[in-house]
Amino acid sequence: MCVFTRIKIFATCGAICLLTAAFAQEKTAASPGSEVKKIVNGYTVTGLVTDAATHKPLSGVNVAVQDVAAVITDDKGAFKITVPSKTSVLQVSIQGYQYKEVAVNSRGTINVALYEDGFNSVYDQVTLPFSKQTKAQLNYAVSGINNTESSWSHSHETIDNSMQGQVSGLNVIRRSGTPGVGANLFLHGFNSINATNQPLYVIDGVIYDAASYGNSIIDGHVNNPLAAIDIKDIDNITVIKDGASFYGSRGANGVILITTAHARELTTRIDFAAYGGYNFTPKNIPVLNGSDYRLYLSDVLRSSGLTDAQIQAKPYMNDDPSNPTYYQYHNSTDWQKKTFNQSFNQNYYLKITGGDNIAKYALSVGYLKNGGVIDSTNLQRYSTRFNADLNLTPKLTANTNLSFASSEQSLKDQSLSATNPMLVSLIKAPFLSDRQVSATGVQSPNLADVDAFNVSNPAALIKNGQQVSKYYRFTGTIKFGYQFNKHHSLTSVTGLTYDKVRENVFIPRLGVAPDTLSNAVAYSHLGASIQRYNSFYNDTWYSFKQTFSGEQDLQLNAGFRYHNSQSEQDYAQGYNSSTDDFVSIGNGVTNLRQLSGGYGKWIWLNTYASANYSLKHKYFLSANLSVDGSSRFGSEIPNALTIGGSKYAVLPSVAAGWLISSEEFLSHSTIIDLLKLRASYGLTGNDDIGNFNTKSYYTSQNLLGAQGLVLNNIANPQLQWELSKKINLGLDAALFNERLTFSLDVYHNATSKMVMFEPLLSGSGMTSVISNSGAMHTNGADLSLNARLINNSTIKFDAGINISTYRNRVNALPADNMLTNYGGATLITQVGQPLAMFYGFQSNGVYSSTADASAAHLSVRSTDGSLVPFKAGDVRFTDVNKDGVIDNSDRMIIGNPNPDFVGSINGRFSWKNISLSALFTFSSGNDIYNAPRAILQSLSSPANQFGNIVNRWRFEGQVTDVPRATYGDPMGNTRFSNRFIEDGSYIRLRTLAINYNLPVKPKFMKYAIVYITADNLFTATRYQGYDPEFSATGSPLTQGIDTALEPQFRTVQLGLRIGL
Amino acid sequence: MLSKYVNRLLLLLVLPAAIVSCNKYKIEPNQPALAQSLTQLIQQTPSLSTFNSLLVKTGYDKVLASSKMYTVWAPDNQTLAGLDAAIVSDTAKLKQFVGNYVVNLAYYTNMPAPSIRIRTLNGKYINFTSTQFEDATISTANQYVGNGVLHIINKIVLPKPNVWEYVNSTAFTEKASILSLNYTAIDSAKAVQTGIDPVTGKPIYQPGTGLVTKNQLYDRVGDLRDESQLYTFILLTDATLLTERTKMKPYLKSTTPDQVELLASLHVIKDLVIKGQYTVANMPDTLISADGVKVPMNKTAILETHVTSNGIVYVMNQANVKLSDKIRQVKREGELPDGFSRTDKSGNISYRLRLNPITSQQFNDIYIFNHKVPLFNVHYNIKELYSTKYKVYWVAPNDVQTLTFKQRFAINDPLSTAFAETQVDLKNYNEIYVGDYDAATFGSVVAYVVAANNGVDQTNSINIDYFRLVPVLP
Repeated sequence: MCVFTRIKIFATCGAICLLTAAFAQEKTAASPGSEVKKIVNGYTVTGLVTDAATHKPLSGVNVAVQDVAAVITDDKGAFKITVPSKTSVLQVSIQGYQYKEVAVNSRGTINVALYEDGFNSVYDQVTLPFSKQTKAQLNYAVSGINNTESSWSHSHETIDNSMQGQVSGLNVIRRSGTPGVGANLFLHGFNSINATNQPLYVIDGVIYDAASYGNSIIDGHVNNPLAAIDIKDIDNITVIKDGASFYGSRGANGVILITTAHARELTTRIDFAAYGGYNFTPKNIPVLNGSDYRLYLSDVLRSSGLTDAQIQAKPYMNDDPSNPTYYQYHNSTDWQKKTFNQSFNQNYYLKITGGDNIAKYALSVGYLKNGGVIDSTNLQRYSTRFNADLNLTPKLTANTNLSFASSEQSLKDQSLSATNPMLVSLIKAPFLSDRQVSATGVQSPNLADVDAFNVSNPAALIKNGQQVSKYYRFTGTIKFGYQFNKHHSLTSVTGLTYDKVRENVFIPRLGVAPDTLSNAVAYSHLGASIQRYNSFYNDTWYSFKQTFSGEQDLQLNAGFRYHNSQSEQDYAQGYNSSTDDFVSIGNGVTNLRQLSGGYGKWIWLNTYASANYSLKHKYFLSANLSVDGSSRFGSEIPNALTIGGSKYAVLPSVAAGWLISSEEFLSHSTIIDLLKLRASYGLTGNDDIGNFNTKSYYTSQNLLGAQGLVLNNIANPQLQWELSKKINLGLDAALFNERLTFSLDVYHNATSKMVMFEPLLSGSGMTSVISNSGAMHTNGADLSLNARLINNSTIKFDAGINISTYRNRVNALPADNMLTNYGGATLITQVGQPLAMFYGFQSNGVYSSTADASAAHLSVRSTDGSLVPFKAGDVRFTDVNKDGVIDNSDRMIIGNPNPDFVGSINGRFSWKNISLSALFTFSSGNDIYNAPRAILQSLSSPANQFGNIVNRWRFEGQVTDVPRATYGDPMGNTRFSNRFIEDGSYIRLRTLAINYNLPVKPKFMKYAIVYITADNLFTATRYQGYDPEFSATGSPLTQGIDTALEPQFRTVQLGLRIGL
Repeated sequence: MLSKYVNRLLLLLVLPAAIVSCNKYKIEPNQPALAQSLTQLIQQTPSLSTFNSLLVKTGYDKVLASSKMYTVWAPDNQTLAGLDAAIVSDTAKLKQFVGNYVVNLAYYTNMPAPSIRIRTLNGKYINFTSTQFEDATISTANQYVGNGVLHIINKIVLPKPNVWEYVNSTAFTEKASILSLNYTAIDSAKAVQTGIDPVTGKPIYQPGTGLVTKNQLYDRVGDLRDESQLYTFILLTDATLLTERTKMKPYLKSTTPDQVELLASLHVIKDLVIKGQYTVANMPDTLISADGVKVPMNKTAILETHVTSNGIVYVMNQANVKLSDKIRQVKREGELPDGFSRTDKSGNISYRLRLNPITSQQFNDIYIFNHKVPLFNVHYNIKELYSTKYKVYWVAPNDVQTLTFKQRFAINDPLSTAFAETQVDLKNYNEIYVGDYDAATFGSVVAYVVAANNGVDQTNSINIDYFRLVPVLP
């Protein structure tokens, strides 16, 4: 508690100091009065502004030098302006065209050709924490996404998904195909092993905690707070990729700034949009058909030791129609068709903006219903947003952003769980029916119960299972800005967040295989969970802007941020309600009910200062400093700044930019419009080190009925933030009047003080202690290249490519290596290697004959210690240590889940009123562990198998790559090996969108646009699962492991937007 | 001009689609044979056209095309040319004939070690070795397809009768004797239940349903019709059988002469059925019957040998099973009683594991003490006691008491004083002669060990390691 108090005191003091300083500044700054300079030694520039497509002159174009001079082009597009110096910059702008900055660069005549509004230009403005700037003047690695148009055609997506393929260096991996579940974002590879790797989201100046606090009680589900935001409410997104230290110890994974849309003009505008979409079921994974499956069953049952007579006595082996069970076992059911279902999407959205010069408002309401492809799943969301801009006094402005979204999502269990209907449908015997079948073959409407193999009925999981997640999130921010004069301003943003997830789960008893608990058999399962998160946030800063003589600009910002967060999860699991009609948690058997939960509270205080300096509009220099305190930091961190006994992270950064194209030697280049070199170096931190790990705490424990408290951890008061050092070099260029632009970044990110679970001797009573004992680095490069290939008055064709690559290497670990397991895969993280490599057995075909097998002289050690030799039909594993026994010491690195490169290709083609845009995303060289296929090719149980099991080894001398059927797999043929590691490379037509601007009479409406959008239209991949894109968790230790999540699916959507 | 761009655009879209359309799943059988069924393989093998026609005629072609695993040993055309026309013309016989070559599951020639006995689809069992199918040689082996394997053989293998079918086809009186042991019983699984008796709670069955014929011999030694078993069966000539019966009859005294005849049939023939197949070549001097009786085998007395589908039948004119082997002593362990005179004394009954200090051997016994019930008894059911005179012995160690006590042995009536009370000495681990018992008729009896007629601790204890009834034979 002591820590929090100190932070509060510090925060208060900081605020007072800043305010005092600001007021003091006001007094001194007021005296120089207006700074309108007379241009003494002016330099006259003439020129012509034309339309880049038609080459016709543009009249009425505003040509200006910031704060100094402004002219408007005449009928012939000509202008004449006197600028202060030869290094001045002309700002060229007109409604309906791009904004452009042109360096005078000692030229007397400057011709400017402007592209239409929406053109992907190097002069686009991006939003930064303290200001808006054109990309041309930035010396950070920053990408901007202007969402205004594309979001209307992708109305069903979440923000995180919509960023896929838009930003080079940002690898967006959608978690699954489930509507609203979002994506995991990895900016410039990985920065941490055990702490978060997700970038920090800042929406309208307030940190938007997009993490899910607590675990969903619905298998494989993650609550995605970003789904609470309607993408059509977003105005623009900025991704800060390098270590700009804008957010200190929370910025290690990059920062994503999102600005929601405010009213742009005073006139009242009404936008209404309605969409309808259709979701296609994924293509089936080939599994054995009824007859091939029964042949497989004969083999596997025989290997279990059953005699011929016992096998023939099985009800499914009977082919006599007079037998009462004949019809029950002679169906041909496509279980995947029973599990997947086409579904529909709907989306309605109304937005009204307007106001007067005192108050402007933007009000939007939306309803969205997205279907999933797993039968009976969908997401419904109601959202409202009210954004207002108030000019309270000429100097005092206020902006509010209020949003409330509530959603209800019907789900089914996913992941490698026995209650995942998708997984069950793959292993379910195809000769069974989902309904009860009478002795005469009549199908009942009642669902069939668990089958003879103790496999659930997927239809029962779908129809009678209930997994519902209800979610709401309120975020309210209010921003006050006080502009003392043109140099000094004070801004304060305060945000509140209330977030609640309520989940209810019911797995019925009919048709579902019972689960075994430690003290009971669970026939039905009930669950309820509540996750809450709320936070209070304040960011107050003072800004100073000054232009000095000699074309120098200086901008200073200093301020502090305070973030107080609380999270809590409480959940109950119950079992065995008396009938399947009792579905709520209170109906479970009392003595099997379990209650559990978690609680977190943390406070973060960030004091920062930044300075931006530019000289002659071509040399840029920035410096930032951030001093962070957090309730999470330990009290005995060595070598850390100590204030009042608390430890603070001091994280500085510097950045420099050189606009080479503004140098005189390039002034007459006809090729180069813009050429800029950037470099930045910064320290950032990652404060995701656990709320209470620096303190020792107790947990309750039950020992033989006596309740007590036991020590749960060893406190590490030296535990500190992870330190991430980022070096970034960048080159931006625009050539041929911006028809070709590219941006190249190379970076080196080095994380030290990485939080690790340091293993302890068992004598300590604990398995591990959390310490800052890891280090790793990531090197990488991003390239984004855009070109306007066709540019004339009717046809425009843009194409672009984003490509990024990274290489990761672990430099320090508490032990030589660290093995982790997830979804049946084993991953090794060892010094000198990339983190989380697949670590398993190398296989090399199947022994075709007994002679072949005995020649190999390989065995496995059975549980009783005896050696069992491999036989014909077993998998030929590589004996790495040559000891003749295949065991854990024969494992090796068999795959790398990291891609060689990822990226996207985009194209936009427009002709008159129609535009067609396509986005291809790709990933190359990443390996995937296909865990569902490992289950489907286990050949060790009566579960249905993958289609190629028809080629299983069956007779002496058979040459095949599929091993024999052995019940229980005593030889470990299904062990984690490269048999199930697949190439996860893919290229996907991520989005294809056609927009058609209907010709309308302006009397009725301003515009009407038809959107036809198709998602995931095709995916080219060798991956044999449903889809190669998934990300079960945000941890780098779980990437590339297919845990049978709902796959990506094809969606086509038709929308109409009307503007009144 | 637009069309040019559209074409380019289409090309851009079609190209990846063409890449996608290649199938990434290798699920087709990687060998053509695996896509075939046995029916197809047999059809396509010219040398099996005759066998194929028989398959079609019997409908087995559909079975062999189904999704179950089979192994077929198919005789080639040349072999089947010699098939008896009577079999071909009789559908039932033909079905049995063809079914004799087909078994469930796949068997390859590397599996017998050295031989496997497999049930064919006609219910008979065949022997399969790495080179032979019964006595036919496999000419072409291991032709696998998707649903099984085909071997080609060069000899007709007719389905054999089983032991009972063979015996039933003879005229020996042993056949009649076996048949005389038939009785009718109710099989509740086959009976139609009409209700539940409100008094006893037992099910009531519809009269006339669930009646099955059973046989006392089969109940005892196994069903001679069971194809899955292997028997060595001794079929005695009529005279020999009569000798054996006569030898046994004095010990099978019963209420009626008919009953004696039935008992004689059962008790002679039960020792003529031996589990397992013993050929003349591997025949030991003595076989052990299912009842544990030594049966001397004199190879010279074998008149005929018949190999059946479930064993060998020897026709013999000598049985000569020794009376002493048939009528053996009855020994019961004291610690395995069938009941007590009262059920409320379990706290006083000790089933002990003790050490005999003289032999250093462990033994189990029963020790009943401090029960305070005069004439408390423990009883042992004896199922079959041949009608003859027996001498009774027991061991009663009395190793933990300080006092001796008396206990009495009794048969059928716990109060009978036919046996005198016997003193149980302290720490006496030796066998004690208790008395004689003359069984008047063959049948079951109950043996009692009765405590002394007092309620005094230590002196009314019961202690029995074991007792035995030793027949006194001529």
